[in-house]
Amino acid sequence: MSFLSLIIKNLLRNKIRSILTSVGIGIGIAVVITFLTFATNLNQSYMDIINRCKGDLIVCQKAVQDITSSSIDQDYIHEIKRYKEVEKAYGQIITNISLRDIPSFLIFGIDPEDIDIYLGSEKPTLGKKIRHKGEIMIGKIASYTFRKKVEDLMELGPNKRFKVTGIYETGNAFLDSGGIVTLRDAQEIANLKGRVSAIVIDSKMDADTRRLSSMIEVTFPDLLVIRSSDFINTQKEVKSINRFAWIFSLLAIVIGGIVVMNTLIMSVFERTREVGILIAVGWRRGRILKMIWGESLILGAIGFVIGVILGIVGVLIIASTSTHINASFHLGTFLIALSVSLVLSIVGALYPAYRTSKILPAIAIRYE
Amino acid sequence: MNDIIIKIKNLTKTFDGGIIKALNGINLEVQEREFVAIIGPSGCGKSTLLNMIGGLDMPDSGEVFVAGKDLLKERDLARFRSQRVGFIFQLHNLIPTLSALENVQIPMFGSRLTKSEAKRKAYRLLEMVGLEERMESLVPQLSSGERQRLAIARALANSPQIILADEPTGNLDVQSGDRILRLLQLINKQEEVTLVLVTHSESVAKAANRIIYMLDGKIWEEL
Ligand SMILES: Nc1ncnc2c1ncn2[C@@H]1O[C@H](COP(=O)(O)OP(=O)(O)OP(=O)(O)O)[C@@H](O)[C@H]1O
Ligand SMILES: [Mg+2]
Repeated sequence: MSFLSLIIKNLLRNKIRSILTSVGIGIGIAVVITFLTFATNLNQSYMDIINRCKGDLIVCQKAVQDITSSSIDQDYIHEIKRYKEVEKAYGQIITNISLRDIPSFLIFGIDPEDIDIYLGSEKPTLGKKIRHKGEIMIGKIASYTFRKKVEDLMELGPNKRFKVTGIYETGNAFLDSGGIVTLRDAQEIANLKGRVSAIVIDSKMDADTRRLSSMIEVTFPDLLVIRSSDFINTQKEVKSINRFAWIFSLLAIVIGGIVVMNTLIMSVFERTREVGILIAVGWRRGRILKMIWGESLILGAIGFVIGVILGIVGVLIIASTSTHINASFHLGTFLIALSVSLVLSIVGALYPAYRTSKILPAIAIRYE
Repeated sequence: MNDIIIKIKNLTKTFDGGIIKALNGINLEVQEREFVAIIGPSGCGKSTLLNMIGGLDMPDSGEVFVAGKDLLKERDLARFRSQRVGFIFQLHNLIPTLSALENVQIPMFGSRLTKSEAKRKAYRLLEMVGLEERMESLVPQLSSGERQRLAIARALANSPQIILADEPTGNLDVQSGDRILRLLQLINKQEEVTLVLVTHSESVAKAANRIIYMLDGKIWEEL
């Protein structure tokens, strides 16, 4: 008989309890996987949009929650272009509207000349890029949800009909579930005549961007200049989702830990006399602790497998209810989940192991 | 004359903060290969004494030498228990979820035996106690007499010098009790194992070479 089979036999004594414990860990792991997956995907979608813009700095309105609620006068574009460090500057609108049953449809407004910043130089998957007022390109997911093809008309509010010129696929959940119109149209849709959400600055090769951003902020006190690489950390939505992900994960971990600990305490307590016998036949306490930790690790491993399955199912279900969220998985998330289940096993066994090491054999053997 | 394998001097042990004097100045010597029975009424301290000999508990004062080790100073009592002594208790000796064969292998974890050697040795021991046909049976499927025989096989797992048996026939009928005693006698002779057996039955004690009477934590009389 191997040590492992001894451990497994111990777990099989009370199958229901072992299964319930693993399921308990599994639910915790599933929560961790689900939340971290969404947080990661959301972060990536944001990062991706910023990276597409290829600018160094983003100028938006001071003291707003995030870019969809920012609005600044478009005249600032010309003001900013005057700085010698600036190679290019363009305004864009990112706004969120509700359409029929879809609570949020992201509209990106950009000068048709600059449309490449979203789509690269590639052509749309179907149809053409927008050129004029009254035209819209939509993402693949949006074309799905709204059942729109090239040449179809799309209604974005009263008396605002747009002709779909093309359908694109970027892999970015925000872009693919949204649409791109001319800056002018976007200003009308968002009720922001003469204003933009943000101005992206592409600075010259060796420009001092730090100096540039403080100059802009000093000259125009209502503007906020953010480095592209810091952009994500300034977005309240991202921040709160990240925070949520961690809080829920921590809660799940604490609950999982309590479940493991409770099970092991019960099973160790029931086996007090047996532990006495093991000591009497010459087992070292270290071996007994190894046995308990082994049981705990196996519960954790089964819990991890259950958690991965539940987590993937959970992500797929939630992703299917929202167009903004894509269901791509990341190895890192699973590695975190794996380490969580390891930590649960180890920490959950700490107190039971401590209790075991306090068992006095002479007394344990008197146990009935 | 054989060597002395157990030597106990002025051993005392109290419980509950000194209120209960379980052992009250025990002096005892046991020779190698001896079969000693300790007899006495319930609560006189028999089990407590046996636990001291097996290194399961520590006295308040006195000295315990077993198989050349000073147990009060011994650092590695686990090793001592695993290699020098084998315990047999009255009840609930065994791990209920394991088979007979697996129970005998339990003490062999940590010994030098490989898995297959351990299994072979366990099988031989089961043969010796006449349980080879029940080797796959789980403990609850065995009768009380069979369980005690299994406990004997397990006590022999690491070829100890001493077997400490605490009421091994306590809840058996006369017949199965006799069988256990005969088996213990056989092991005592053939395997040259020193045997210390605790009982409160005169007839059981008669199986031994020497009987020690205990009362109120003291040795009263030796025969
Ligand atoms: N862990 C303990 N805590 C408190 N008292 C104890 C403990 N162990 C033993 N005692 C007491 O010490 C005395 C001797 O106990 P012990 O078990 O050695 O008796 P015994 O001779 O083996 O009795 P029995 O024949 O009933 O098994 C008893 O009074 C018992 O209540
Ligand atoms: Mg007793």
